[in-house]
Amino acid sequence: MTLHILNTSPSDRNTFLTCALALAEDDTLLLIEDGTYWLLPQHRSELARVPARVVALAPDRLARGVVVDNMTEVDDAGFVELTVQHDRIVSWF
Amino acid sequence: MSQKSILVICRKAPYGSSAARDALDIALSGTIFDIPVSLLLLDDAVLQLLPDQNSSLVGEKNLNAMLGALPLYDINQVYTSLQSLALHGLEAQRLEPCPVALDTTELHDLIKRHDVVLTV
Amino acid sequence: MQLLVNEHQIALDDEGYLYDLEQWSPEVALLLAKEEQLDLTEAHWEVIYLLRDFYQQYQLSPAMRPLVKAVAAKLGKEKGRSIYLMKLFPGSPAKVAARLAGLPKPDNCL
Repeated sequence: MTLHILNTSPSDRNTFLTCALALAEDDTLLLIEDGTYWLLPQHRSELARVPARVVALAPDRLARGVVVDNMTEVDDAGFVELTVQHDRIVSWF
Repeated sequence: MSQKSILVICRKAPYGSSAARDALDIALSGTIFDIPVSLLLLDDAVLQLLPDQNSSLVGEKNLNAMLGALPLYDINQVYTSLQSLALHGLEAQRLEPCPVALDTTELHDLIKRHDVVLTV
Repeated sequence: MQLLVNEHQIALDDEGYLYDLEQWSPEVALLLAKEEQLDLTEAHWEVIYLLRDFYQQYQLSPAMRPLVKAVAAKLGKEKGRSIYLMKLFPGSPAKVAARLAGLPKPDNCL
């Protein structure tokens, strides 16, 4: 199990696409910082196609005014917990 | 104590920033400590493998020449992805050193084979 | 630091390595060897020239492991061993030999 962390916005499509290819089914994708803009309605369908579970860092999303209906989110403590639960971490930036 | 294996991922072209050089330095340093190291060059980092780089024109050491020394540091394989080659319309056989081009499943396996992943 | 060779000033860095690879000559190696209290034999010179070729090709100043491998590949397995290089360049062979060859201090060298 690998935790992938993405912090780039949808304007950097290639970082997202490369990250998506590296995602295996039992992996988790954590959206942080500008990565939370992938939760905007415009990008949701593309985000939905990644094979892994998607989680957002709530403070980063809320800070940016990105509104979502239902979304698995974590706070900072949850972030730490995710890092412990996974075997390795891959950062995409 | 068995050493943890490290996968170094770089996604940057040479010379535009220090990232490519940093990734190489990290990889080489790892081998000094007998740590098994693999190097994965994705996206723009595949451009590090273009032959005929003449970097002295921009006052830099030739990163491509340095990559040629990897086998002497016991890093026998450089990896990239099929998608990264396609992004720039490159063929693996024309690159130096010739990388192993991974499909999606092989990419997943490479990541899973390593204990630690460093992205530079 | 400076080294005076045939009335030419050659600049050395704080650790005694040449600033400019192009300023190297066998005379420079002889003077640096004197500082290290080494008498250079044919066995030393072949390693020194191997190092200069290595840097020319790879633009890296090799640490011990790659140096041993390069020596084994170019000069034969008998010489491609740490103990052999330790005898030629006592202390830290990768560092001492690099200095004599006019290379920068080896990267990633312990």
